[in-house]
Amino acid sequence: MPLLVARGLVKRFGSIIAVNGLDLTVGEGEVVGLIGPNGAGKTTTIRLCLGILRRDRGEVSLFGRDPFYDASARENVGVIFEKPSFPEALSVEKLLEYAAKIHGVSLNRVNEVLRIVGLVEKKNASVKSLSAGQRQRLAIAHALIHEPQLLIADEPTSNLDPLGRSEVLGLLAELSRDHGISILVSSHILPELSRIVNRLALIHFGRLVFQGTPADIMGALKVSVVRIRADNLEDVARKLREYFDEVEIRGAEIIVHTDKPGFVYKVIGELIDKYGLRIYGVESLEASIEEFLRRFLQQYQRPRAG
Amino acid sequence: MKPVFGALGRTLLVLGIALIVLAVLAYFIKPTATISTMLKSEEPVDNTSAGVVVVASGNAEGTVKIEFTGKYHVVEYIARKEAQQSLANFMTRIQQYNITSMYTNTDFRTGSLVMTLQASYKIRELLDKYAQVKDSFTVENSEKDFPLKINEVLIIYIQPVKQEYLTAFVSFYATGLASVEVFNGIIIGIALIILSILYAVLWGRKRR
Amino acid sequence: MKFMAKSYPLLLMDIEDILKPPVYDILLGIAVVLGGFNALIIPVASSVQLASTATSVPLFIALVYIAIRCGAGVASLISNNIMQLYLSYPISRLKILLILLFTRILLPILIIIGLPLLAASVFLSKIVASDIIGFLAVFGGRVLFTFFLGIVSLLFALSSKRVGVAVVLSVVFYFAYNIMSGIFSAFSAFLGEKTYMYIAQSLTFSDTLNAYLMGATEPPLWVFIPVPTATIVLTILSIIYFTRRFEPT
Repeated sequence: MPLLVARGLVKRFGSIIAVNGLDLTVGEGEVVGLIGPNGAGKTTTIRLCLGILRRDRGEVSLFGRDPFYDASARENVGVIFEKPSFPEALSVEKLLEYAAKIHGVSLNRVNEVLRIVGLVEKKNASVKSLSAGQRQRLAIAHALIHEPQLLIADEPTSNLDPLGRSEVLGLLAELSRDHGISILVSSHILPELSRIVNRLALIHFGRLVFQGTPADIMGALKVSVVRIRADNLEDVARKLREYFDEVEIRGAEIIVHTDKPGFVYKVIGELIDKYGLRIYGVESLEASIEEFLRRFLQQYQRPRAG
Repeated sequence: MKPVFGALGRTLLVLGIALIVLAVLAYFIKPTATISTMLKSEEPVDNTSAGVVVVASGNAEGTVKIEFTGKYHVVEYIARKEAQQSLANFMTRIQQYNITSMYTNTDFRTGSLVMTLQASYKIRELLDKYAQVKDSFTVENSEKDFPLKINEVLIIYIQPVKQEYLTAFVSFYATGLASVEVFNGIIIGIALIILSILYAVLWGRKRR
Repeated sequence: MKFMAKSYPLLLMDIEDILKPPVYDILLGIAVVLGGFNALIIPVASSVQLASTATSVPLFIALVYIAIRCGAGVASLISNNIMQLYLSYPISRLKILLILLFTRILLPILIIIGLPLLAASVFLSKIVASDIIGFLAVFGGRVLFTFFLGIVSLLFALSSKRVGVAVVLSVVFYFAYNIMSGIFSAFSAFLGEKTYMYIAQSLTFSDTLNAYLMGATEPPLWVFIPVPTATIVLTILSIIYFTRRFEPT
């Protein structure tokens, strides 16, 4: 039985439809990534699923209960909000103690979760004094205090530097792998997310536009990216456009989108021979999910409430 | 490791310090109530239970209206707890001056006492008489437990406002300190401070 | 107490947030000293007078505190996303609102009005003992009146969700309310119509109650109905709004 089921969710903010008929499920042991650009409706979807926001239409079942009306639906859920906030006057330890008491678990869990997130030495520090990264780790500790079956994390890496992001994602992966915790995690940093999730749900303008495994997405994305550094970018790009449809100049590079990356090398070779172009480097890249998103989402326009 | 007071400890500490501050203030500053403003009322009133503290002097003749204003609770105290007897005494004393009517009222909303006297005799004579006898109007405690004593009533100013009228500014000098339990404040204040420190050191530290 | 098992720690957590130094400590000190001093410096004659005198300054402090801190406090809970955190706990919205009513309104009122009374009682215990019921009635009237303005501030905060707006609305309401009471008093004075005076008295609920307890005024009993009724209605309204409509964004 899925831990979280959302069907036909609709949420309006004034004339804006933030979530528009969205379906989402998170099964036991699953790690589901909610991806989409900023403003796609990820945070709203998460808040609806937690019963923090009131939905205009649709159904949410969290552990078989409606979280808006039945607070006990959140008993087995740990939540990590984007930009986590806690009462500033409290110390780390005190905050976690209160959380432990709220969830009715032993206070020994405080030290355990502090160890898991590596904040043991900060346990007497006030929440106010924590850095963004430490605060994020505290949020994870706070979410894990009651050993939840489902962890819902909204952009858990958004405030962190690359190293911090990697650590947090590693931690989430570990929680899923070692503790069997189901996770619903949202992010717009997609390559990272694709490394830890079983399934990705791509939302845009509040709609679910694609759902599948990261491999599905890569399969659907039959486009590679070739990056070329050259002397005369305009000239090289113009000549490449005779062979390829999508050629653009980004900064000091030319980017070619193609489903035949090998052919780019061949063409470049020919162009060098023929025109004596000065090419400094040609690099074939694995197409990022951002690339996929960019292309995929171009088809959608933001709908307005009627 | 420093002691941790917490909200409860801090509340006890603040309350303890405040009690000691209050005790010191109460010791040095006598509670006094001074009538400092006047209030006029043209309406005769029918509540005759109030009004004791009248000593006035002036030189007008005929009908005199004397108005008092003041802290109504003092007035009320006198009126309700002590005044009956004093009023009776006063009335007896002024009988000889042929006071024809006397109206008093306490207006608690504005905190004022209005007393209207009508006399057929020269009021000056009446007022002079009582102005000289300061203890005539001493209001003593009749209830032992009651902390407030009105020791004496002093006239501080008197002024004719109309030909036939006098308006009196009267000062009550009241001492209530005798029964303000200053030492209660000090003892409980110190106790609360000690308690808050103990709380912070023992319980607060343990929490850390 | 099982039904409180989850919400009690949240109550303590929120209390710790609201009572953080130094604002609370300074305010408490001022309220206790001024309230107590008032009661000592002005000779009082009865328990009711003592309570009334000792709470007059703290009442004003409590009203300003509630107008500013309750509105700002709850609105900043929302804007700082702490409310979202509270709502993510397995605690019902009703209980969360009751916690906020207690920590953000009732507790500060009880402290700011109650402690000066306690201080004054230490010095004038015999007066208090002479009429404990009257003493408590004055205290209850003050608390109810402040709670009434507190619940208005809470509704402003919940609906506006902005610190500045909530504070401005609360303060404006507080002054408009007083002005309205003044206008009715003036009407009464000019027109000689007692009904206006009764309306003014009903608005200044706790002062009227004190005067009534002192025997200084004998208004019709309906004068004591509007403020308590409005308090109950607004409390129910806030519960309905918070449990069915409120969103912390």
